[in-house]
Amino acid sequence: MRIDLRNLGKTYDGDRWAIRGLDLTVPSGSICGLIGPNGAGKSTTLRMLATVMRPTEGEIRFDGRAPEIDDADLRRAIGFLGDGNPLYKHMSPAEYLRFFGECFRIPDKELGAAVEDMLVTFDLVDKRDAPAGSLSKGMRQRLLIARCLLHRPRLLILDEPADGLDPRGRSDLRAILQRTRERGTTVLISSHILRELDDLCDQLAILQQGKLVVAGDVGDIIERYEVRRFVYELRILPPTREGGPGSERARELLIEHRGLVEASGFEDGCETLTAQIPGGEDRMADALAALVAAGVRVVTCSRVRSRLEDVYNRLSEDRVN
Amino acid sequence: MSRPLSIRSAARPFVARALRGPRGRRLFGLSVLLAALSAVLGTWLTLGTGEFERELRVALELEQSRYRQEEAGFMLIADSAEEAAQLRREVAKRFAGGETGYDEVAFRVNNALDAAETRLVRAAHGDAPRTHRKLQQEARLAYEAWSKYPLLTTGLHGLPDYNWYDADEVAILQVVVDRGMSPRIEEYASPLPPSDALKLTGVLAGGALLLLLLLAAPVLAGTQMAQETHENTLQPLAGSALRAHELAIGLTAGPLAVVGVLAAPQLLLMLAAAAAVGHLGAALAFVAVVLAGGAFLVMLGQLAGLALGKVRSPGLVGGGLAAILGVLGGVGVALAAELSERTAGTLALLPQAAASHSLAQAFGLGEASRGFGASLDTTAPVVIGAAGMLTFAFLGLRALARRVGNTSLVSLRRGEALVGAIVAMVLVTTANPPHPWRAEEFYLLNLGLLTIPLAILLMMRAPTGDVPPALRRTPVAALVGEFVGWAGLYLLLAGMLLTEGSMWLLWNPVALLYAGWFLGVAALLALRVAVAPMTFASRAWAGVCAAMLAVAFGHMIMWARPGEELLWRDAHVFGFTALSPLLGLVQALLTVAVPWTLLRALRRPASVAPAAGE
Repeated sequence: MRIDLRNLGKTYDGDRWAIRGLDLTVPSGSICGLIGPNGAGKSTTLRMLATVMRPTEGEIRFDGRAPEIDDADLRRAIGFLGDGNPLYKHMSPAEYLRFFGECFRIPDKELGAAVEDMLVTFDLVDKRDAPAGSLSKGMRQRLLIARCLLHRPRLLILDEPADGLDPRGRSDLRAILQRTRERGTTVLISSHILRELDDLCDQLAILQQGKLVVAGDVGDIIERYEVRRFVYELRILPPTREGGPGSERARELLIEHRGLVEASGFEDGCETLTAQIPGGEDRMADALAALVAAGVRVVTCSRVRSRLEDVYNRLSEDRVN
Repeated sequence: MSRPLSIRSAARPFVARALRGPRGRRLFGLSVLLAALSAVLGTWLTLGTGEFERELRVALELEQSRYRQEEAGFMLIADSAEEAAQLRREVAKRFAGGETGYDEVAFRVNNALDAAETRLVRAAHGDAPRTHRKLQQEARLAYEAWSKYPLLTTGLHGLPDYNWYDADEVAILQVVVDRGMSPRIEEYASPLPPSDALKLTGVLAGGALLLLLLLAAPVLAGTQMAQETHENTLQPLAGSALRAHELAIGLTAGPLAVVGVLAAPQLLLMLAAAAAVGHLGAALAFVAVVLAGGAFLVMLGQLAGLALGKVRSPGLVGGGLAAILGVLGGVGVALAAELSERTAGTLALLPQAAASHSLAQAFGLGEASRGFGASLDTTAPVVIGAAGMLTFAFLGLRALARRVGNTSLVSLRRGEALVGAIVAMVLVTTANPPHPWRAEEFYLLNLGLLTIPLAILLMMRAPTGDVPPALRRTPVAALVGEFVGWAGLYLLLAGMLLTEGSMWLLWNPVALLYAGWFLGVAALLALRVAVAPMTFASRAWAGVCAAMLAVAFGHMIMWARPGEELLWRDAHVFGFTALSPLLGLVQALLTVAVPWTLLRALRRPASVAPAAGE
C-alpha cells in the first residue's frame, strides 16, 4: 500500500502543533522508519495514518484514495500498534487474539489457525492461557504486535514496537518485519533505537519539533550526510620487545592533527582506534604519514561508513546550532 | 452484510469476551443459583411462619395483620404449641373464675375477652335493625352467661353505639356469640395456600429482573465504558474493522450478555408464574417496560462512562451511577406503591415506577386496596413511557456510535435532537397533564422540567468531536435558537391543550422577558459546559449561573399571573429589591453579567478550525 501525506497537520489545543506541514511518500512494500525525539510528532502522525485520529489539516491518501469517514474496509487493511500498550489484563493471549480476530472479521475457519500461528511466531504458546496482566513487559509487547499482524494487513504501523523487548525479541521482530515486507506489506515504524532501524528500513523520515527534517531512501540520506563526517578505524600492532611507539603515541599524534578519538579496543592481536578527523581525506593522509614517521606500526586504516545514528546526531546538532 | 448479520457479527466478539472460559461457567452457575433462590425464597415467604415473612406478607397485603386476624376470627394466635397451651390454660382459668395473671399471655387473653365483652355490651344496648334483632338477643344472653349478671339497661356509659350496618363488625359479633365468649386458640400457620408460593416466586423473579435490567445493566455498561476510556483500550477497537455503530452495539452487547445470562431464568420463572397464577398480559407489559427502560438507562450509563472515564476512575463512575440509579429505583418503587390518579402520569417518566406498577398488576398485588394503583387504568402512561424510553435509547446509541467512532463533531443531528425534544415534551406532558383551573402548574412547571432534557440534547448538538477546544467554532446563535425553538414548540403544544387566555406568560412583557432570559441562559450554560474546558473558577461561576436560572424561573412564574394579582402582590421586576435595594442591584447586575460571561467564554479563535458542521 502506497502512502501519500500532503501538508498534514494536527493540533490538540489549537495553539501548539504536534505536527504541521508534513509531506511524505512511502512507497508500497517498503519499511519506513519514523525517527525523532520525544514530542517530535511521531505517534500523532502514526495515529492519523491508522485512521483513529483525524488530521486538523492536510490529507492522507492510501493507494491514491482518501479515507472515508468510518472507513472499516480501509482499517481492515491496516494493523496498528499505538503507544500506551492498552491490553485487557484479564484476557489470556489466545482470548485476546481471538477477540481482535473477530473484530477484524477473520472468518471462523481461518481464525483458529491464525491465532495459533501468531502464538507460535511470537513465542507465546506456553502462556496462551495465562492472564495478560501476568505477562512480562516483553511478552505483552509481543502479544500486541501479534494482534496487529493477525489479520495480515497491507499496511503495518508500529509505534515503538521494540519497547520492552529483550535482544532476542528485537532480533525476532526484525525477522518478522522482514518477512512481512516480503509479503508486500508496507511497514511504518517509529523507534528511539536507531540501530534497530538501520539495516531494517529502506525509507526514513526524521521529525523534530513537529516538522519533517529529512525524508527519503536510507542509503541516499546516509550518503548525503556522511560527506561532512570522516571517521577512520586504525589497526596498530603493539610495540616490539625492543620498544617503540604504541597506541598511546598514536593517540597523541591523532590529537595533534585535530583528531577526536571516539573508541579504542583490542582485536585479533591488534590495538584498534576509531577517530574522527575533520576537514577531508588529505588531513587523514597527513596524520597517517605522521604516525608512520613516528614508528607507529599501522596495519590498516579504513574509513568507517556513517550509520543512521550518526546522521541523526548530525542533524540534531545542526538543529540545536 | 445485512443489518442483522452486521449486528450479530459486531456483538459476537464482545459477548464471547464477556462470557469467556470459566468466567462464563461461573456466571451460568450463579444464574441457576439465583433462579433457585427466587423459587426457594418465594416458597419460604409464602409458607413460612416466622415474623419476617409474616410482616412481608402483611406489607404486600397478602395477609391481614395478626391483630385483624385475631379480631375477625375471635381467636388468639400462638407462635408455638407451648404458647398455645399457655393461652388455653389462661382462658380456662378465666372461665373457671380464677385470678388474672400478669404475664404477656394473661394480658393477651384479657385484651381479647375485654374487647369481646365490650362488643357484646354495645350490641346488647339500643335498637338493632330488624334483621339483627335475634343476634342482639343472643349477644345479651351471651353477655349474661359470661358475666353471671343480668345486663343493666341504664346505658353504655360513654361507649359508642353499636354499628349494625358494618358487615365485618356484625360478623365478628356473630363469632363471639357463637363461641360463647371463648376465643379460639390457634397455632400460627401462613394463611396463603401453597399455590401462592408460585405467585411470590414470580414477584421475586420480577423484582430480580427489575434490579438486573434497571440497575445492574446500566451500572455495568457505564463502568465498562469508563474502563475502556480510562485504560485507552478503545483506541485499538476504533482501529479495527468494526464500523462506529457496530462498535457501539458490541460495547453494549458485552455487559448486556452478562446481565442477560442472569436475567434469563428469572424471566422464565416470572412468565411461568404469571401464566399459572397471575396475568400474563400484564407480565409481558412488565417485560416490555423493563426492556425499554433498561435500554435507555444502559445508553445513559455508557454515555456517562464515556464522558467521565478520562477524568474519573471506573470505580467512581460505577459507584456514582449505582447511587443515582439506586435512589431513582427507590423513588420509583415508592411512587408505584402509593400511586394515585394525580401521580399516575409519572409512570411515563420513571421506568422503575412503571416496572414496579406493572409487576404488581401482573401478580395482583394491592388489589385489596388502592396500593400499587391496582384500581387505576395506567395503560397510557406506561405505553407512552416505554415508547419514549425506546426512542431515547435509539438516539443514545446513535450518539454513542458517533463518539466512540469519532465520526462526527456533534453527537446528535438536528432532526434527531428535535425528535428527542418532542419525546421529552410528550413524556413530561403525560407525567403532569393539563390541570383544569391551575394552568401554570401544567405549562410552567413542565417548562422547568423540560429544561433538563432539552439542555442535555443541546449539549449533544454542540460540536465537541476531535477538534481542540480553542479551535472549536460553536454556532452559538444557531444552537441557542434551536433550544428556544424547542421550548417555543412546547409552549405552542401546551397552548393547544389549555383553555384560551389561561397562559398569562404570553400577556405579560416582564414574564416573557424572564422566560426569554431563562431559556437563553439555560442554553448558553449547557453549551459552555459542553464545549469549553472547565476550571475550578468556571465551575463555581457555572453554579452561580444555575442559581440565577432558578431565580429567573421563580420570577417568570411570579409574573405570569393576572394583572390584578400582580398589583395585589406588589411584584418587583427584580424580586430581591423587596428584601434590600442592594440585593436588587446585585440581581440586576447578575442578570446582565451571567449571559455576557457565558457568551464570552464561548467565543474562541476560529483561524484554522474546520467549520463545526456535521
